Amino acid sequence: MNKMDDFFNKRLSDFNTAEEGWNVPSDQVWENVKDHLPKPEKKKKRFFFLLFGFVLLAAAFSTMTYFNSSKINELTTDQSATKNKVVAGSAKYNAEDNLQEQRTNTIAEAITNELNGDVTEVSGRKLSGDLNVNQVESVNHSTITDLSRILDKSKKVREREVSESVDKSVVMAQLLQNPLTARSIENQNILNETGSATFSATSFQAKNNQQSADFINEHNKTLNSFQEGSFQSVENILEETRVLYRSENIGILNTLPFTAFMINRNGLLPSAQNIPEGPLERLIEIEDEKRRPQEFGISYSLSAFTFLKSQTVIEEMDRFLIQARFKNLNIEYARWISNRWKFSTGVYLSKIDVNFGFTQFFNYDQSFMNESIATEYGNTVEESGANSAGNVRVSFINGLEPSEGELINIKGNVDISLSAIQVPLFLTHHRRRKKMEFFVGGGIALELIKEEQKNGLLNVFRDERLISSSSEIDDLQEVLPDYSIYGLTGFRYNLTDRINTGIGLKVNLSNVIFSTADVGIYYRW
Amino acid sequence: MNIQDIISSSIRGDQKSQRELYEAFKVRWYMIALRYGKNKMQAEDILQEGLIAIFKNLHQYDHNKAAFSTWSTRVLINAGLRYLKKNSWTNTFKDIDDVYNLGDESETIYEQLSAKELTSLVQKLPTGYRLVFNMYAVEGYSHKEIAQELGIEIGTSKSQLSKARKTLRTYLENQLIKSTDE
Repeated sequence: MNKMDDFFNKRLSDFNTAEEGWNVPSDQVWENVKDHLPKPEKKKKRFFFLLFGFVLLAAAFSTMTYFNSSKINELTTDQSATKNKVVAGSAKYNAEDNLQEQRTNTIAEAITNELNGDVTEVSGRKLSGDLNVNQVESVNHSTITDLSRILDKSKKVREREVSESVDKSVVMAQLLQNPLTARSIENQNILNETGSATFSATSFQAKNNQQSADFINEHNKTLNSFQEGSFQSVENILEETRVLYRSENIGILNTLPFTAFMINRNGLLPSAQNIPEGPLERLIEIEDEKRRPQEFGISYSLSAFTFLKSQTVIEEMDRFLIQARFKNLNIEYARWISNRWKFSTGVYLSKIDVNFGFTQFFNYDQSFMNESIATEYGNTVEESGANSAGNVRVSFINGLEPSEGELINIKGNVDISLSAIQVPLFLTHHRRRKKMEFFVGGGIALELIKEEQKNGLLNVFRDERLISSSSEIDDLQEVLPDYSIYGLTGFRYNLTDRINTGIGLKVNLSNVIFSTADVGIYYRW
Repeated sequence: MNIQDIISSSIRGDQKSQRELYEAFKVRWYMIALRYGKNKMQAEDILQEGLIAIFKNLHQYDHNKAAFSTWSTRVLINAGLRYLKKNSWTNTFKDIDDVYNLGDESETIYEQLSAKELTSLVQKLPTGYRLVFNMYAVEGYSHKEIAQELGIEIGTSKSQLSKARKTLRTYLENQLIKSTDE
């Protein structure tokens, strides 16, 4: 460096002394700036706490099952394999030998096995050079998305007493199972063979490419520790992997010809994934956040009223008939508030149309006639949830009035309609098993119910002949706010990463008759 | 609290932490701004722009990649360059002239000059000389990087640097004479 440059550099880079009056900015600088700086974020709406209030109401009815969250059972790893992975043939591995001859399964298989937790047997097969791009990219993606699971696994590894005298071949086998680390090792071997100074950290520094130099230094540090025989935890391997991924993304690896050669030879192409910068813990957080998507869905509820058509024999020829039709559409929006908990809301639209009818025979008694009708008919209607039948009076057609004790037949029917708009506030707990997802939870639904009673008619017959003037029952209509407490359970099946379908059971704990089974299709993003 | 904690709190908008961070680095930042501005007023303007840029981008800082001082210096310089570009940037860099080769004379005689005096000499340089000299000699940018940042040719960067050195040498001699007389 030019001596003048050096001189100014040294003198002007000494920031340690604050000499009053010359190198301290005026107070006005901060005054001008402070209002433009980031402010504290407003507290995000605490849906969980708001919901918690509602859930407390339903707490007595909750059917949530306690899951042991300390166990991570999604990886069905045989833990004994973690310590002593079966590496058939790798016991003979010699770090100085050509790695390619010792290559294990294809990368896709290695990663799949890692994720599924199966013990990986090294078959000694050579790495396929024809690995196709899509397979590799999906492998890389699945490696990234399972960082947290692999780290959980690493916790188990650390908890076990791993001897420092672990066979180097076992460690090598573990490293080889991670394709990027394997590549890194191969790269180092190639570097050793070529002895090219072009790829040393020093040369990168000379070229003012500090990023490349840092990468080389980190890379060498990792390999040095391995070669010294120290056991490297899975977390360190992942740290190295992250470094390599990051290096890929800033194009360093592609600037190194031997790496490009390795990439081409092994069919490994740079991942298209953009790995967010930051410490590994932050990557895990980001991956966790990715598991908390939003969801939108449409479902249809089946209820008792969907198939309801019943006729009850009260006594001999007396009948009580109910026919119902149920229409429903549920629109749901959900948001994951943690890895396993989901909050959902939406709009449920339901309509139940019920036709009540009865036919009853009795011996005519004028004094009790109207009272009986009012009682019987009114009770029937009221039980349906509608309001009173009002004043129902029967008038006979002139000349056709029955005699006392004569057998007459009263027939009546009314249409009852219940329309409801519900806004559910549900909290559910989910567990995944591959493509299946099971959930259980509860909540409250705020409702607006419109009750209608119409087409009420009452007629009297004698020997199947109408002898009365039709008595119409007043139409009634009422809108009522209400709420219901629900318990939920069910399952979903993931058709794709974003689309799933499922069946759920929604038990109305306030009024069990209104429980439903829901079938729906959902979209996550 | 260590620097990482202060940074984290600052990102969350904690004003106390933001002030603390500013107080810890204000001397460094201001000394850099003084070298890029031609006077104290411009230096404070550059510092203000730089502070806003630093705090707004604080969430992007990664302590694994670089020290905070290095990162914030880079942000400040970029903000300073943006500021200068907005204010009379035309004719800042002249056409390429002959390049002067300066000898490597010992600079020990200039050791007696304080950082304040040296800074004021840098401030006196024309803008183009000043920027290139600061970026090359003090910050360690390459000519290619300087050319990219400033939107000039590499040759222009080199010539501006040479002229800056020559001019500074003249200033130094004059300053030394002035100090001796005093």
